[in-house]
Order: sequence, then C-alpha cells, then structure tokens
Amino acid sequence: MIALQLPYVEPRQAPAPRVIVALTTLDGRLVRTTRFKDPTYVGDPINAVKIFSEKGVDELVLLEIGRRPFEARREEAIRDIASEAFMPISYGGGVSTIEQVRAVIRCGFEKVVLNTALHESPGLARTAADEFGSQAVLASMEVSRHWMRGEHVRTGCGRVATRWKPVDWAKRCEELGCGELMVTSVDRDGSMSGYDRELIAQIASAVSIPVIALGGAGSVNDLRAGLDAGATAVAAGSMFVFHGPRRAVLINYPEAGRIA
Amino acid sequence: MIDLATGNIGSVLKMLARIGADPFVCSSPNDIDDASPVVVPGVGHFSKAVQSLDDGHWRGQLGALHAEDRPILGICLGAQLFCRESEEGGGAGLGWIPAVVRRFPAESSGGERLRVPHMGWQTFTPPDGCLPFSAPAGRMYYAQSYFIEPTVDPAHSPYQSEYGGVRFAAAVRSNNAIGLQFHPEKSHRHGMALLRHWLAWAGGGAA
Repeated sequence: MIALQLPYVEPRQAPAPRVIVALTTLDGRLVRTTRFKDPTYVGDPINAVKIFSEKGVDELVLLEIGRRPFEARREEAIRDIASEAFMPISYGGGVSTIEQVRAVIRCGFEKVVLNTALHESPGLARTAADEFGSQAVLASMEVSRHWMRGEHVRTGCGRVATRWKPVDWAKRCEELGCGELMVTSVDRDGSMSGYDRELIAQIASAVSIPVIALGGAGSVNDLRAGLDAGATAVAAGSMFVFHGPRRAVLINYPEAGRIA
Repeated sequence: MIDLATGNIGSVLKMLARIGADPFVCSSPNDIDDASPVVVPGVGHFSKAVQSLDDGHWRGQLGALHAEDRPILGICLGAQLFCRESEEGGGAGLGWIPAVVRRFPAESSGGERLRVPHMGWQTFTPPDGCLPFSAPAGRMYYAQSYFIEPTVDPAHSPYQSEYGGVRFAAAVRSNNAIGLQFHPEKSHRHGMALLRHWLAWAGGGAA
C-alpha cells in the first residue's frame, strides 16, 4: 500500500509574545535599581538564572551596569551564569570590540547587547551581525525625558546624555545592523508603574526589527499594555524579582499563556 | 558535533551532555568516528558557514555519511546548509534538500509590517510519523531572518510552520539527515525531550 504523505503544518497560532526577564548585575552581584540608581543587592545571578530557567522563562537578558571594562575575569563569571540557562540568554555590559562579542557568544550567550558601543564604534554591530547573524545583536537604548532637554537617548546606564532623539536613534540602530532593539525608559526603571507606552508606540512604528519594552512593568496588565502599544516582546526586572508591597525578594514569573 | 567555527556550539554540547549523551567536538572530518550520530550546529552567516565547509574539507565526508544513512542533525543554520543555496549570501549548500533558503519579506501575507528576524516561541505538535522519531508536543524557540522554503516533495519538508503567513520548513529530512529550523538546545524541557528522542533513534548511546 502506498501511503500518501503530506507535510504536517503547525496550526496557525496566536502570536505568543516573549516575556523576557531582565536581570542587572553590579560588578557581578545581582542588583535592582531605581532610575538606574540606588542599587539594592538581591542575590546571586547564577542561582537566579537557574531558577528562572527551571521556571521555563521565554528568554533572559543579563545586564552588567558596573563601570569596569569587560575582561577575562568577567568572561569566566558570565560563562558560569550561561551554563544554567536552557533558554535564549543575552549579555550586555562593557562590550565594545568584536573580540569581546566573540567571547560573549563563546560563553554560551545567544545575543550580545550593545549600547554605548553603538555610539563609539558604529561599525561593531554590522561586524558582529555578519559573523553571528543579526539575531545575535541586540541594541539597547535608554530614554529619558528631561524638563529642558526633552525626550533624549542616554548611554552608560543612564549616566550620559546624547543629542539623539529616540526615534532617530532607533532607526540608526536598525541601520547599523542590529537585529533587535530594547527600549528602556530610564525614568520608569524600578518604578513598577507601567511602561512608557507613548515611547514604545513611536519606536515600534519607526523600525522593522523586533522591539522589546523595558522599564516600569509591575504587573501582567503592564506587560499586556506594552504589547498593545506595539512592543514585540516585553521585559521586566523588578516585577519578576520582588514580591508584595514590601518588595521582598521572591523570584516569580507568569505562567505560560497568562499574558496572551 | 562538527565545529564549523561559526557561532556557539556550547549550548548544544551542554544540552546533549544534560540528556546523557557523550558529545565530542570534531575540528576536522577525520575526527568523525564510524558510528556516532553527527550534529551540525550553526548560528551565523550562510556564506561564512559554506566557506568553513570548504576550508575544513567537510563536504566529502558529510556527503559520504549522508549517502550511507548516518543520522545527522542540523540545527538552524546547520539545517539551512542542507539546502542548495541561500539568499543570505553566495556559496552552495550541501544540496541534500532541494530548496532555497529565503529571507522573510518586509510584509506579512496580510500586508502588515513583518518584523524580521522572527524571534520567539512557536508550538510544536508534529503527529506520529511526521518525523522518524517520536517527538513530544511542546514549544520551540526560533530566531531566524531566513527560512527554508517548503519543498515540492513533502518528504523533504515533513514539518512546516509559518511566520506572518509565510510558510516555511520547520524540519527537513533527507535520508537520515534531519534539519531543524528552531533551537531545541534553547527550548527548555521541550527541546530536551526532542533531542532525547532523536538521540535514541539515532543510536547515540544513553538516552
């Protein structure tokens, strides 16, 4: 008997937007910040990544906010962290050369996060994308609203103001070869008061690469609002690390499908 | 696991070790032994991987293994290398799958902006018999700007999915070479289960 073989096509599905855990470290220690300041020690990143991996998180982004340069010692530390992740994981913090990009990828990260380097070495994103694919290059932009300066892009974990307007810089990141863009509202960092939806909407309509919203999410409703504003994926830190009004440290993550 | 010196082979090694395999890295075709299943991982650029295939003299050896029905698993770019060519860049793939690797268009089939790369999770529900080994339903992580077009002969692309209304081959097959567009090594227990079933089918020791 001859069996008629047809391909199996995965049923059309509602898009399942990624809910990304964004963890910040300061000199290798897991911290939470508010408006990128007042770092509070919350624990050990290796353990946290392990727990998040066990919870089946969609993706995780690890951001080092210390000012120390990327060096061999850090490579060792982040390799140990990546070894606990059975989901896509990105690393950012002090990466400014292609050798450092290679080191991050070699450590077991799928993506490298570029921020300051996009301003200082504009060719780096393209070089990295040519080698590893654009999906491996995640641009991170920090946006702040200032009463005089207006809405502008900052770098160096919020420390340095630039002349760039958010939409122009977002387009620039795409032109430079980045495959994804994470938009962080500095003013909302750690506030758990909701994303800057207007900012997300502006940027999402300006670029064709995936846009991740970060900064301000405190509830599943906030995540949903970020997606409604146009984000492709939503990220949060405090929301997944703190619990309750007294902000006790408790790692948590919405069950699959809860934000759909 | 063959090392084409593109991208990150660490994640795949880690996952294989986790499921009880004893993976070893082959830096040259001579390192491949007489029995082990072979994994072709890959992230990166199609042309660069093709260059590595040529520079490392992998083509002859991989072709011979394919012809003698050795189980070979291609992941993401590794799967795309099984095809004829890619819009990403010049160079010939291994040609086992009569398909071209294409870039996702700027617009979905409904005329809306399509964000590329396609990054995210999709359900994975192939029925029994779709793949040569049973594979439990779950969800898998995709990260791709390029996709393998479905082949004319469905046997070459038995498992398909779509993004933005664009149908693509999510798994391809030629002889015992299986290519996966998604990343089982980054798909938690779902990917772990799939690799475990593949390994048991491929005869790769403890699984």
